[in-house]
Amino acid sequence: MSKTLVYDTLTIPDPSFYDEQVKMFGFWYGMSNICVFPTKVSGTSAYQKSSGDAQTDHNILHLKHTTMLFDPKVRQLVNESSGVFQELQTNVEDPNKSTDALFYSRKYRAILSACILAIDQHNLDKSNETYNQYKLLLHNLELIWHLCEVLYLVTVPGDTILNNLLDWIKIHYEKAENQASMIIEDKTAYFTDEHVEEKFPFYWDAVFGLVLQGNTDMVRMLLCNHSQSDTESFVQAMKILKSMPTYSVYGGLPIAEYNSRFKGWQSSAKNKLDCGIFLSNSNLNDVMKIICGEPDSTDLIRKHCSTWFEFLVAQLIYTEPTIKKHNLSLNAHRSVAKYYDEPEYYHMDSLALDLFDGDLEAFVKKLKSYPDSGWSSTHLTNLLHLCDKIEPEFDMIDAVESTNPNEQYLLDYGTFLMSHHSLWQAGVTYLDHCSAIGKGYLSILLSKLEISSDLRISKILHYATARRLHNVVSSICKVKGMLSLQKSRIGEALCWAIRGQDSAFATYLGDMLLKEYSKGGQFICPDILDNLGSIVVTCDRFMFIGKYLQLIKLAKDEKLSEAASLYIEILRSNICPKYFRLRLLLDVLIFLNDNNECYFNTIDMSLITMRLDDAIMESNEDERFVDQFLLNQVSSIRKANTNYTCTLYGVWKCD
Amino acid sequence: MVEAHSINAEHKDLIHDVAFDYYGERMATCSTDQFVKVWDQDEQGNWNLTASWKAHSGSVWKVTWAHPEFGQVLATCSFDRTAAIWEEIIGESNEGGTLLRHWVRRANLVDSRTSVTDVKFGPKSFGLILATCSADGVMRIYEAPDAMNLAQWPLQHEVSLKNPSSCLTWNPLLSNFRMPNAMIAVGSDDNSNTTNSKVFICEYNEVSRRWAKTESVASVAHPVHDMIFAPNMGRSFYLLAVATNNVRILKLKPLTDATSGFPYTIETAAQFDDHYCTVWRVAWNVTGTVLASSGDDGCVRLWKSTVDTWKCVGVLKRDGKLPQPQSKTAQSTAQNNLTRFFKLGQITHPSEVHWH
Repeated sequence: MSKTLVYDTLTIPDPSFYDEQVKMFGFWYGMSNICVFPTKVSGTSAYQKSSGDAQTDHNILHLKHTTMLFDPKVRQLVNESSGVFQELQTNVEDPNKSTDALFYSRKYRAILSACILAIDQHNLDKSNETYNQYKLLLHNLELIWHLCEVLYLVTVPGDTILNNLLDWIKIHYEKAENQASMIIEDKTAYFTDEHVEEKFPFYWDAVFGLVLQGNTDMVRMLLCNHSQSDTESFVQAMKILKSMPTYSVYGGLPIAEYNSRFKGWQSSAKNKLDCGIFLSNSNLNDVMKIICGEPDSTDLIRKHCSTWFEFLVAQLIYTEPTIKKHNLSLNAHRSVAKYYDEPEYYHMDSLALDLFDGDLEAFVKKLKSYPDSGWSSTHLTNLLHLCDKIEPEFDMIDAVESTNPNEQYLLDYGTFLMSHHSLWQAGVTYLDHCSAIGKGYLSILLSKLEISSDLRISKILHYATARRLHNVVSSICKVKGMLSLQKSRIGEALCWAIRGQDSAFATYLGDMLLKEYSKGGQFICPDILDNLGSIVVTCDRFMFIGKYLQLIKLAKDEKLSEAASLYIEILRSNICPKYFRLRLLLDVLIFLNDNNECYFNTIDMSLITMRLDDAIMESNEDERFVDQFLLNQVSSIRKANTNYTCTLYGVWKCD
Repeated sequence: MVEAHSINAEHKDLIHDVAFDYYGERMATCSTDQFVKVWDQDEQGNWNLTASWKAHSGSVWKVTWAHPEFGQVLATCSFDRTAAIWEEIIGESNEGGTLLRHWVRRANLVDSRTSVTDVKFGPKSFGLILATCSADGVMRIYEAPDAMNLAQWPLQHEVSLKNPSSCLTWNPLLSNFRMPNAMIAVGSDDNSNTTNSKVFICEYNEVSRRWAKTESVASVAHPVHDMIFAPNMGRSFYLLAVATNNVRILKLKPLTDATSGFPYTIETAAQFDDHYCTVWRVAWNVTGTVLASSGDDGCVRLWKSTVDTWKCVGVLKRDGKLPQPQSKTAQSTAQNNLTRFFKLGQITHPSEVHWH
């Protein structure tokens, strides 16, 4: 159990902080890490001068927060609970399915128990202090969760809560029962008349423990095992235990009837106690004192309880067996006051007290500071919220508009998981259920995830696309594209531009490719250009490149007449970028130099001539686009044009 | 539990600023020694120095990364009255197979006549845009018209604030409330008087196509050393953290019915005097929910907005003495002369720092 602290102080030791003048500056980096470095501050005028401490080291410290949930053994808790969470949310939205809060609460607890078990198996000799701590933390968590379940989720007819509380105590404090079974299973003592107390020094501890859990059957079995079990005092004690009336809602007894029976039973037992029947064995006498609900047995009970929860329930068995839920608060406060000598409450204590008080809001808020990084507060608040146990808008203030605490916890927990390199996908699940603001978080956090491996990027892109976060997709693709470009991998960059449907970036890369082609006469990444996909529709530059590639292919395959009509189409649509126009016009020679065939009619020829004139004019106006080699080619194009046109006319003249 | 990793920055003088890239995997540092250094984190989490160059002829005050969509780009500002844009170039890999990286100066912004005290890239939705402020109180906006060409950085606007400026911050503007104007807050560390406002809000006016000072925040009258807008995660208001004689969080709430004038109300959302003295730096975490403030008391304090209110969730204290290796609270293992790795705090003890 831990004390509630407002905040915590961490001391950062480093020789760089050698005197008071050295300040520490802190920054956030990545998702949730802090970096601190030493520096000095003085008036602006003194800045320029060297501080003269060149000999000292200037260390930079990176602080990383590691928590229980990030431990490989505890990770199953995170993953499995996110599955249950997801299932619960979908069930709530589906009107055909009933949302049984108790069912889900037990599911969550089962995951907790499984996790504790897994830790145990990994740490059999209990030598790993870390795992011992984790186990304790998770165990306490299960205890408090179970209490919450017993008090708020289990429907108790008539509100007589004791039996449920007993179930709760029995599960979490099983030491006495384990000890008892050990004793009972050992038959030798029974048969050999050996003194069972000597063989099992914890014999009476077990008896007391069971009495305090109201487990009278087992107490009787233990008493049977005692060497004096046939003496009058033991026989009487077992008789009393056997006749103890037990209350059951379905037993048919009204509460008043039961109470009078219980009182009658207790007073008859008390008569026997007062007669001194049990004095022959002091321990047995103490047991009977407790059973009779004697006021001076309080200290006795306290001695045998390891926590005040046990203490509270043990007292109730023999003083107020039909206590109603709403009366628990007073008893709880009394118990905790009696149990502790000093009025000093621990975190767990105040959590349990809030539950007994019926103050779920306060409970949930305190649970938030439980050192499980918000696992419990998130899931429990969400569960209580969904089954209408807490108001969705408790304790709202202006500062956190449009978020209720349930959502606030989901946001915090989701963000926390997103900061882990492999748990981020679980984090997305929680942010998905946070209305509009969750989408804002997702959009920033998804794009901040490190994009180290391609598999990881595919996953991130998949998540972003499914949530229609197209800005995230295009941002990640652009970043990757720029990184490829930095390494001069234009083809790779183009792939990213295509993936991100980034036509501006694609245009830039297309320009690079075309300029490269004008220089070298070859495209650098033919495999990618063969599979351009939809980018040719969205990006003008690639519409041109696509057509141009087709043209080259046709020409290469000697399908010149098809190539020629495509060529004219390209010229007519005017989609060729300025700097490439001359280069494109140079390709006319493929067709004109072929003397065997006519590919163009006069209209085509005039278009070619017109484009040629335009291109030359442009290049005269704007020196930037001029390629001297191409300009030199102009005359040969013109010459071919003229020849060709003459031939055309010549052909007509012949007709 | 907190794991701490210490590296020797290898600067020969005071470090003034440390900046992390968008993913927190690259770190740039700058110092009085006029050098800028870039560090990269490897898969094991170690930081390795990958570049170091003399960037200016005076103390380098601030260093900042552009959004990686624009490539690997840094901006620095210095006492030498200039700001500079740097781009990382990857050359051919050498024999060892590692890529050769170096940073080239793409632009030198020389318009200031005094020390340039801060430099910040604008939100990526505005393109490749940069703001600087200088000791003579001029805020300048530079913009690369072609984001793929880092050599061209024409000066677009100048706003004279008439107060020595120490810091500036862009409003990240992710609000879905309406298309707001670009906004920059500039702080002044003028300590000649303590009555005038030290925080100025500048906005871009779409109609006049000019930047202008539109508001002075009267409630901040002490010298301001650092300011930062919180990342906006879909909130309908903006949070501005101010480092002055205390930590101040200002809340800018848009007025829905404003037709003219300054369309926001400015109120103090929180004020923390726990540093008991000057606060030098403030920094928001990625979601804008936890603020880290660095004060003259040598502490870094963490403030979180919870369902209730703002409260301190952690304090980092400096300690000049190295703990003994046998100490229970901190186990340090010297890996080599440059790096040191140690664990702070007990595992899952209640004193676990909850800075999430």
